[in-house]
Amino acid sequence: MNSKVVIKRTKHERDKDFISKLPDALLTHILSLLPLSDANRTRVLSKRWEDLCAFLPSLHFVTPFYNVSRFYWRIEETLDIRDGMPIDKFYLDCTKCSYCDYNRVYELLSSVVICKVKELELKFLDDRKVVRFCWDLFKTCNSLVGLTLNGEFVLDVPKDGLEKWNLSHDLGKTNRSFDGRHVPSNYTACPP
Amino acid sequence: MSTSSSSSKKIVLKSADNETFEIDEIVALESQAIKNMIEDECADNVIPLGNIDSKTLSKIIEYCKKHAESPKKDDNADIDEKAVEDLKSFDAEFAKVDMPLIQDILMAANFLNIDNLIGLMCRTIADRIKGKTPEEIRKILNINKNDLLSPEQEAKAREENSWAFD
Repeated sequence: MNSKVVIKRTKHERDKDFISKLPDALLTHILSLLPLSDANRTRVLSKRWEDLCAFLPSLHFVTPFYNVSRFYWRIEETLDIRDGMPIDKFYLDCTKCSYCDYNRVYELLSSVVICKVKELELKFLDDRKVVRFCWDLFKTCNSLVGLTLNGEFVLDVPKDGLEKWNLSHDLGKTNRSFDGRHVPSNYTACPP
Repeated sequence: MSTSSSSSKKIVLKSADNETFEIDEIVALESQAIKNMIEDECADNVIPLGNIDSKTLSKIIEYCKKHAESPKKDDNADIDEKAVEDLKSFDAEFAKVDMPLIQDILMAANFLNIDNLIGLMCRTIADRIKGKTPEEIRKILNINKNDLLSPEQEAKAREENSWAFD
């Protein structure tokens, strides 16, 4: 029948795609050693790599011009995939799109706070929508050590909050008022 | 069974291809997994490592020997600067091997639970794929062509990728 059967053995098992067989934790560790842009790019490598960026210690999101609702949905999905895994830094830039869904952002921040976020950086539009920063959300968040806000909104800093959250240093960089309502240009907001 | 001529206790490791390596126990203890086995007294005289070939195992032993011999940081405060430098350059030399071997070492180090070595191999892989295009990375890491994304999936992944940047 067949003139010959060629069993082509790979020289060694080493020719196989070993790296993809590594556990998530190791692959994510490798990703975390890369610059963020490089790490994110690995999602196109193969199916195995597609979702790994979701497990990076720092999450970085910039709102696109369109497909905004899919964008928010993707952040939610990312947080779902992580399943409560702590977040070192959460960065969200909402300035690239002329519309910001503050309610949705509030919900996202609620999830992020549950994930013991350490550092939070938010950028909001100067869209004259003055909103109050959701301090209440952070009352239960003992992990937060850094908060950077950009945008225009009402900052009503609770008296008891500053030492507890260790935020005074960051806030101290710009003009501030602890008791009154006040609209600095360097802070951002989410809905009341 | 104490057959060792020196004063230190010996451990024998057996690779997947049945090669045996007799090493000082102190060297074997660099592996948290082996350490646990020894402490739990479930290590026989010979520890079979059915998923590690001899080439990989000998590299790992080379690494563990060096690290077991060099002074530990917490031993005393004024550790020899030279010893630290020496270990650094050893690590750098050690990592100069081809990618398949790096991956084998990483898999094995993960199995044997050797923290420093896992870190070294991860850093090495990261350094080699840093700044490379996806196509280049696929080649470097020998990523399975059957596992590639479909054009639609890839377009979606690229879009999501753009959501992570300015």
